[in-house]
Parts: sequence; structure tokens; C-alpha cells
Amino acid sequence: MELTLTEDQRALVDSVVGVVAKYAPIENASAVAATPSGYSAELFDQAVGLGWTGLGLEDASVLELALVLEQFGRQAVASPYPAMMAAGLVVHRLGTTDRARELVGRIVTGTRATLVTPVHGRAEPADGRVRGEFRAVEWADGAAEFVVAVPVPDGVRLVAVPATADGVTVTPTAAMDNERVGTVTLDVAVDADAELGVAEPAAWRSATLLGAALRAAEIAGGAERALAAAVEHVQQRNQFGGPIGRFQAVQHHVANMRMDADAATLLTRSAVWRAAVGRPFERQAAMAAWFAGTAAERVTSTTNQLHGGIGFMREYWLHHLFHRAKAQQLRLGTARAQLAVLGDLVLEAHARGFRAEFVDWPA
Amino acid sequence: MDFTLAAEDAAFLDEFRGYLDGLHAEGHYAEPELVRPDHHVRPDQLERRSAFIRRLGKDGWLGLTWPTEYGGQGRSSLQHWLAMDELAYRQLPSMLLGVSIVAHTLMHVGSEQQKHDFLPGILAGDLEFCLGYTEPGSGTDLASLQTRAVRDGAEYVINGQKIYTTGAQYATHVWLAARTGAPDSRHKGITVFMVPIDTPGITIRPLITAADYRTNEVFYDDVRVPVANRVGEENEGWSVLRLALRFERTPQANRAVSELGEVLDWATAPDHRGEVPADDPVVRQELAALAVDAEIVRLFAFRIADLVARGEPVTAEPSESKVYSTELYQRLASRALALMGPAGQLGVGEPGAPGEGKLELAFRESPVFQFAAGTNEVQRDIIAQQGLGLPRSSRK
Repeated sequence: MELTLTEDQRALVDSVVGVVAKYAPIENASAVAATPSGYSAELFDQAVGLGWTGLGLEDASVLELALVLEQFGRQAVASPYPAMMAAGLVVHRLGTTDRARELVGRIVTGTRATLVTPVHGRAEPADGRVRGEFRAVEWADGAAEFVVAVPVPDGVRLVAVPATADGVTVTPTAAMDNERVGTVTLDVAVDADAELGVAEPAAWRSATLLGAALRAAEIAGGAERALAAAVEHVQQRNQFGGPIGRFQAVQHHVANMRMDADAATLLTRSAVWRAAVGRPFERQAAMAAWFAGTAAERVTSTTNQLHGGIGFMREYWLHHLFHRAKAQQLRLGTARAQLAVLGDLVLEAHARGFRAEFVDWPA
Repeated sequence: MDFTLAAEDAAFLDEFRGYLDGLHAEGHYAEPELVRPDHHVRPDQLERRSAFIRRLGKDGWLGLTWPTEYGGQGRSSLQHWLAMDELAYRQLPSMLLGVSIVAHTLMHVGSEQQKHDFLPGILAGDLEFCLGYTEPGSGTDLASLQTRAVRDGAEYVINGQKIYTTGAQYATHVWLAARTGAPDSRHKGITVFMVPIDTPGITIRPLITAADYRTNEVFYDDVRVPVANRVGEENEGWSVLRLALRFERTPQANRAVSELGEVLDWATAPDHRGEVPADDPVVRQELAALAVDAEIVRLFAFRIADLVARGEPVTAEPSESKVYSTELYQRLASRALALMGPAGQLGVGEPGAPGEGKLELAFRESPVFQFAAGTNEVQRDIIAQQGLGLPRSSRK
């Protein structure tokens, strides 16, 4: 047992902290969002150059990837990086073809890919083609490859669709937060070269949940930052002759935020650690995603409350944390769908044996 | 980062489980208990409880964390936590105040005579303690206590009243905090005594809780205690109490987890109408949310164990664990009963009670945890002030 980071993990996090603070600190989030691309190309290049695009794919593990994503979340970084890693992990886990291996290799070297799944819209396979309209696809505009999940009777079929293919239309749309999303319309021919693999339902669920846990890492990072911002603010903001942080009502808000943020981080790290060491992680991942998604909204909205007016102003950066918490929660899927999957996982675990699944510690 | 138990800790837990399985096979608590044994009130139940504890003592399991020089096993606090959690999960007696609080405090500040007189009896399970802290006028503000101890030669004479002295009906001794300084001396005028519960002048009056089990009011009228039973120096009891508090906080993960198990068992079996509650998607959503909170309670406890095992300081972590777990006890029982509907009103022993009525009792019991052992308001103060550095409040 050792819940702290290893030396290597600490070195990685220190590196990420420094690089993100240099190229995309939260204070610059609005300025970055206002650029045509919407993200810091310098930070992206650093991510590729420093090997962060290989984490969990060719190098280290998804745990290290989660540690990078926590820091992106802390600084409210908008970037195609998380979406492309999510696509890469799905192909890495489920892909079986040469095309799949080739695509993973290209993602590691910086090719922008993104996932198009049933949460975005319904894909209709018909006579060698894939058709459909998909909403809120992450970083669709500028993606080189779309990894499209097409429901088939025995699971999910994954196909790669290059952005340059005939029949691909991408329409950028504004999102609630500083990330970029777009509507993707597909009416494309998919031949054997496009096939990445067919995943059984359980394998697809696992891959999806791993992605959810990694998003939870980003979300937890945002919650941690919102807590830190609140603690700093209530110590500096004076009203009635002293810092507002001396009031018990304020302190109890902050205490609740700390429990939420700590729980989100612990659940997420526990889930991703399980995945990284090859243990079953699905229930823990679903728990982390559900909790982080809802907790971060509580934490960021409380930090708004404690900041008062300044947190509501566009010119200050705090609102990014609130907007991102909600938007990221939505990207995890509907509340109903998340709880349905988690409910299934809890009951499946109970059926396997309550004690081993819920009581015993990993040994 | 590593969330596994170390091999030696896992092996210890396996050994302890095997031992408890053996006791079960021998007949100790062989009948599944519907009510936690720490709450039992009938004489035969108390006898069963003390037989169990004496057996643990005889077999060497009470002094897990005690140094070997005192006859203990010298094990880590992590292993102690695993053992306590195992007792809690099995709903076996676990309010072992003597073993955890009293003994460790005596090892630090007790006289050689006290160590000689008390430690072997505690280790054997023959001596059991209850805590005489709270008074009708002194709860969270313990430093205001007014039960009086006056030196009279080789004795102290104690007068006053304590309340919520849980376990006084089966304890052999009370670990008593009394005022030896001036009435307004607060922290600077408190002394701790170990008082045999059968000392003349002690009157125990039962107080029955809203969860049916018993606590007590204890009256002290000219109770004479030898000076040798004073723990530490006169008027230095506050530091003794603070030390004792360090040994009181054992994070508990498995109480909430075992209640979750009760809810899942209920939800996955046909009810009296022949319907399986968990077939309903709304019920599954509720179960999902409760399972998340139970996992958080586990991880909060695990984090404390990890910090302590590595010798790292703990600040807000025990308070986070206390607040989150105690609020979950209430939420879990509340939601579970809400899923059960009218039948949820039926308690332990009532024919047809869902889940044997355990969650009805858990709901009635759930409020106590939020104010006992440091109110959740104070715990939140600790999180904000000690954990996050916000200004100290004006409490003195």
C-alpha cells in the first residue's frame, strides 16, 4: 500500500505542471479559447515531444496518463489531447487489424483522432457505408481521423474514417466550456481497410469505462483547483473587518468541497490504478466517473458562491472551472445511462460474491 | 501508487479471519446476530459478549498493537485497523475501549504500578472500561466539565454527574475526567482517574436510546478513589485526554459496506409480492449511488491507514472519514427504507420485516454517529482549519 506517487510519477507530474503553467495556465484560458484553433499548439507539441501521447499506448500506463490529465484539469486546459488519447486507447484495447496498429502508432506521434460513438448519434451501417449525424464530437474540427463506433448485433464495430474521406462534413459548434466540439455528418464508404475491429459488448463497456475514468481524472483536477481557489480567496477577501474564511458557514462549505475533491481523486486513482495493473476496474471506473462528474459541479458552484461577483465575470478565469465541470459531466453520458451501467456493475459484482467484491482489499 | 495490501498484512488478515471462523465453529456468536452485540442489554447477551472478549484475550488477540514487553503482539496500526474492521463487518463486539484507549494511554503516561495493575487484566479481557467524559452541561465543550474530585489524604473524593456513559452496565472501570482545579480553570484543572465501577457512591441509571440499546447516567456521591488510580499528574488531565483521543480514532470502513450488503441482499431477492426490487431501473440507480458512497468511505479509511502506516501526519483525513461515513449511515438507511415502502417500518423481530428489520434499526440509530465522537460541525471546523489553514475559530 502506498497511495502517494512513485518518484517517476512525481517527476512526470512536476514536468506536466511546469509545461502547462508555461503554455496554457488557467489565467490564459479565455485568450486561448479566443484563438482560431482554440488550443495551445505549443502545449500540444510538448505533449507529443515529451511522450505524453504514448502513455498507456506504448509507454508507462494509463495511470501516468491520468496523472497528466489531472494537471490539464487543474489548469482548465482545452486541448485535443484528451480526446485523441481516448480514441487511441479504444483502438489500442479493441483494435485487431493492421490499420488499428497503424492508427495507434500515428496517435503516439501526434495525429489528431477523436471518437464518434453512440452517445453522439446513431450510426446506420448500410451496404458498405456508414451514415449518421453526430453531435458534440470532441475536437472534430481539425481531427485527422474519426474512430467511429457502429453498433452491430454482436457488439460494436470500429471503423477509421479519415477527415479527408468523401462524405465527411464537420461543422464546428460552440460548447458550454472552452473545449471545441462539432457536428460530424458521415455518409462514407467503409472498405476492409477501414476496419479496426469488432468488440463484444463487455469489451466495449470496459473500454468506454476506462475512458470515463480518465475523464474523471481531468474532472477531479478541476475540482481540486476550484477548492484551492476557494481556500485562497476566503483567506484574502475581507468583510466585516476580517477574512471571510473565519466564518463557520464559509469553513463548512470549504470542508464539504474538500471531501468532494478528495473523494473524486481517490476514486479515480483507485479505478485507473486497477486498470493499469490489469485488475477488473469497470465498477470502480463507473463510480469514479459518476461521482467526479457530480461532485465537481458541487465544488465549482460552491467556489463561485464563495467568490461572489468576481467569479461571475468573463474577464476572470474562475467560470471556466464551473463550465468545464458541467460540460465534462455531460460528456460522460446522460445521468440515467451512467447510473444504469453502474447499477448493472454493482449487481453483477454482488452476484459474484459480496465479500470478495466489496469488502476485501486488493492483495 | 499502489492500492494493494502488503503481503504480510493480507496474511495477517487471513489468519485473523481463520481464527474468527474457528470461534464461530466453536459456538461463539454462532447464531447470526440481528443487533450489534455492543448494543445488547440482556444479562445473557452481556455474558456472551464478555466470554467472547475473554476468549480473544486468552488467545492473545486483544493486544495486537501492544508492544511485546507488555504481552502484546507488537503489530502495526494498519493491522489493528484491519482486525477492528473485520470485527465490525462480522458484527462482533468491537467497543474495546480498554485495549485501545486506556492501555495505550497508560503505556505513555501511567505509573509503573498502574501498568502492572491494569495492563494484564485488560489484555486478558477481564477489565473493561467505559468513558466518563460527558456531563449534562458539558458535551462538545468538554473543558467546562464540573464533576469534582477533591484530594483527601491518600484518596480523592468525587462528586458529580456524568451522562451517556455507554457500557457502564458491563464495564469494570470508568475512565473518568473530573475537575480538580477551580470551577473556571477549564483545561488547566482537569484530572483523569480510573474508578472501579462498583465503588460505593456510584449510581448507574439506564438511559434507553431511540435505537433501543442502553447508555447510562452515572451519579458520583462521595466516591472515594485511591490517589494511585490517578492517571498523570493532578490538573494535567487535558493532555491525558488528548493523548487518549489519538487512540480513539480507528477508521471504520466496513460498517457502511456491510449495510450496503444488507440492502443489496434485500434488493436482489423476491419481496413478499414476488417482485425482485432490483429489477426496477429506479431501484438500481439508488443502489448504484449508495455503492459509490460506500466505496468512498472505504477509500477514506484506507487513506488514513496508509498515512499512519507510513508515519505521515494526519490532519483533516480522520475528520473527513468521520463526517462522510456517519452521514452515509443515515443516507443509506433512509434510502433503503424508502425503497422498501410500508414494509420498511417493520423492525427486528417483526414477522415479514424486509432484510430482517436491520435497516429499520440502522435508520433509528443513524443520528447518533453524527454528533458522537466529535460532532460533525467540529469535524468540519477541523477540516477547514487544520486541513486547509483557515482561521481558528473562537472556541477555547
